Order: sequence, then structure tokens, then C-alpha cells
Amino acid sequence: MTVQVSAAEEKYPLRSVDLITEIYFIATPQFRGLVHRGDWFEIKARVDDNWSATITNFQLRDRNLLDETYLQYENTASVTKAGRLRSIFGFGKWTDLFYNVMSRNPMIRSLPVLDQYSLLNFTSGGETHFYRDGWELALQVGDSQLSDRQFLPGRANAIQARLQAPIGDGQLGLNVAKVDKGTFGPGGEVFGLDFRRIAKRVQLRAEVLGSRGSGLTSKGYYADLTYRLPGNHRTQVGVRLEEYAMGVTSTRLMTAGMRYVPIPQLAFTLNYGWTPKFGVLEQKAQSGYAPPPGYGGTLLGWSLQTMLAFRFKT
Amino acid sequence: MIALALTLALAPTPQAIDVEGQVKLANGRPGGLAAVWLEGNAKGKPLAKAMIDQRDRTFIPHVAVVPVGTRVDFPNNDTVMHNVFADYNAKILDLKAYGRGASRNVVFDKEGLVVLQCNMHSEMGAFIMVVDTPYYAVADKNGRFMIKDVPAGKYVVHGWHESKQTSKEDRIISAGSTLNLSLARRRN
Repeated sequence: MTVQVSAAEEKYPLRSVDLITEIYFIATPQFRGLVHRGDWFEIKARVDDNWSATITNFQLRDRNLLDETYLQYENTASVTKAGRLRSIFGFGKWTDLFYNVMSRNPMIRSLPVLDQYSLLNFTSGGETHFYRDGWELALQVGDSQLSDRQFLPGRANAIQARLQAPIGDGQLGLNVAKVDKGTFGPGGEVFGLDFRRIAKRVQLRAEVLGSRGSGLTSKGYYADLTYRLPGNHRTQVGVRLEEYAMGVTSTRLMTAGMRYVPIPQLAFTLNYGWTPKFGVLEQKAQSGYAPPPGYGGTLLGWSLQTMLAFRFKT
Repeated sequence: MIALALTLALAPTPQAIDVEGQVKLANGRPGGLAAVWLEGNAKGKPLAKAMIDQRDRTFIPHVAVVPVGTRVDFPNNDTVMHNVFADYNAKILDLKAYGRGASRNVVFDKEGLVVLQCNMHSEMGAFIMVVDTPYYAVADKNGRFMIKDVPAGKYVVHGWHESKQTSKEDRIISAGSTLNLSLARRRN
């Protein structure tokens, strides 16, 4: 693939090394002042138009996670990755936090959706994305029971598929995962439907997830609506409605937020969360359940997150 | 009549010169990726093909100069979706969100600066300088540039750098001319 440059007719080299680091601080009523929440970094080495390698890592206050780390081959019609990969469901990722009005991932993307299986689980294996006329088909297979630093798969125990279609100005995604029985529990299937539309300052994205199996199943949804202020493209405001249910209890949360990016390297998100229903999280907390990384006590009340991002590209 | 025709036929055509030069910023450092263009009598013709790619959450190239009327394609060759927009200056646009394999295009029909951003990735940024002349260049990382086949004559030489430093001065281009531009922040 050749990049035609419209000015000097130069060929820009696609061989590059990219280092991106993001540093997160958060202030909530429970903390005094800004607390260091975590550091994330990514190193991406691009060899040519087709081949690249990526290493990412997330250092939390009490946990070090090997994030996405993979070898990638791409051409115009497809992208194939092999290594430690994130879920292909929807569009919730760690790096999404830097770009989002909300300072945490939705509950349904962070808490278990089937037994102890969560969409935050990494998969060691392979995935391929096929692209055509705005459509995308993605398949992923591998081992989804990984330790925090595990890179190589022990066995193949999960398969995921995603079909994304353009619907007007938006994108609709259908997702399905089959999880074998194992240390997660008896296993089963996870289903997801997501929609995203971004145009004219307004961004809408929503996702519904549910599971089926003989063990613990859950269901939930979230919908984010954000608006980029006219005359001030550096400020976005938004709201999120979300619900997560496991068994007979459920939690519904509302979050209002504002994101301000004074310079591309610095972003602030101010959130306020409240709930008319608070069920399963409270019960899990009483039984010693630890919220997954990324929550940082930001569910309810005020929180102010400060994010620094630096990028070095050769 | 024959004498007049002979005179016209034998009259020297303006000499075409390859103009080289260097852009420096106010602090003396090279003006890497500065846009330079020469404003004279000749008007620019739209490019047959121009493209700004999106890859690895980066616009490629970061700075481009195109003549008025040029249609620029914005393919997405990234693994994530992008939403290119420009909110002010010479062009206001919003290409909405689209993924890998898809492309949008825009005709830039007015002179001036266009600041491109991505609605989804705040660190992404690029600049298009739309000019009404066929004589322009983007400086390399050392601030050096070359504009080919410039007829000798009088021009207004413009320089622009993303640090909001600019220059504008009258110059006479002749054989052996070297254009060294010193940019500075200006209020207007």
C-alpha cells in the first residue's frame, strides 16, 4: 500500500516505532487528593505496510497486567493477530478510558458475564478481521484463562465471533462467544449486540450482553450519549445509563460526565454517579468480592480523573 | 506583421527555476514540516489525486499543501474507527465514523488552513494548507524544501508552521535564488 502525499510527493516511511504511555490519577470522596491509579504503555514496531508487533502493559496500584501483546499481519482486506489479545466484543478497551467521557468501563464489560468469565479476560491465541464495504467479520480463538502475565496458551477454551455492519451513519455489531467448562465454571455462551453512531458532535454507543449456561449467568447493558460542545471542541459532556444483573439481583447506575482536553497530552474527566438500584455489587463486596481493575472506587458520587498521555514516534 | 510574429516567437520565456530553501523558527530551530508557497500570477490547478491516510492512530501525512479545488481522500487503514472533522478556518467538515477499508473524500474549495482532528482520538491531528498557486512545498524535518519549475519573477512568499509561526514577504525569484524563511508568531 502506497501513501500518496498531496504536497511534496514524498514517500512517508511506514517503518516506525511508536511509544505511547498513559498515566492515570483519580480523586474521589474516599481519597484525599489525586491518587495514582495506574500506568499504561504501548510499544508498537511497524516493520512495513503489513507487519507490526505490539507490546502493552498496565501497571495498577497493586497489580501488573500484560495487556495486548501480539504480532500483526495486515493487508487491505484483513488484519490477523497472534498473541495475547483483548475481547473482540463491542468497543470497550482499556485505552478507551483515555478517550471517553466516563472514567471507567461499563459494569457489564468489567464484571463476570458467564461464571467467572469477563470481557476483560485476555485470550492467548489468534484472531482475524475481514473487512469489506464497511462490513467487518472477526473471529478469535484461544485460551481465555490466563494469568496476569501469561502469554502462551495452555489450551483453546473460548471462541468469539463478531459481525459489524454499517446501518445508516452508525455501526451495528453482533457478538457471540462459546466458553468451555473449566476453571470459569460449567461454561456456556455469551451474546452481545452493540450500536455506535458518531456524527455532528453527538456520539451514541450502546451495548447489550447476556449469557446462557448451567452455571452463573448474567445480563446487562449500557448506553453512552456524549456531546462535543460547539465552539469548544476540547470539551465533551455525556451521560451513561447502565445495568448489570446476575441471578436475582441487579444494579442500575446513572453517570454524568464531562471531559476536557486542554492539550492532546492531557485530559480531565469529571464524573458523578448515582443509582436507584444497588444490588449485586453490594452483595459481592460483602462476600469479599474485589471490583476488577479500572473501577478505582469511581462508581458512585464524584470523581475527577486526570490522564496524561505521551507519544513518541520515530 | 511578420516582424512582430518573429519577435514574439523569439522572445525569451520566463526561466523555470528549482527554488531551494530552509525554514527556521523564531528560536533558530529548523521549521520541520513547515508549509511554503509562492503567491504570484499563476493559479493552482487541483491535484488529480490526493490522500490523507489514517493508520496507527495517525494522519499521514501530518502536513499537506493542496491547490484550491483538490479532492482529498481520507481512507481508514487503521484497525480502529475514526471520525475526521474540522471545526473552523478554511473548511468545516465532519466525515462521521467509519472503519477500516472505508474512505471519505472532501473537495477543498477555499484558501486557508484546515485543522483536521479525530472525534474519537484526541491526540490525532493534521493540517492541510489550501493554496491558490502551483508553487508550494512541505519542508522536511530539517526545514529544507524545494519548489520545482518556478518561473523567475516577483512573488509573495508564505511560510507557515504548526507552532502558529508564519512569515509573509515579497521576494524576487531568479536563477540561483535561495529562500531562507524566518518564521515568527504574529498577532494577525
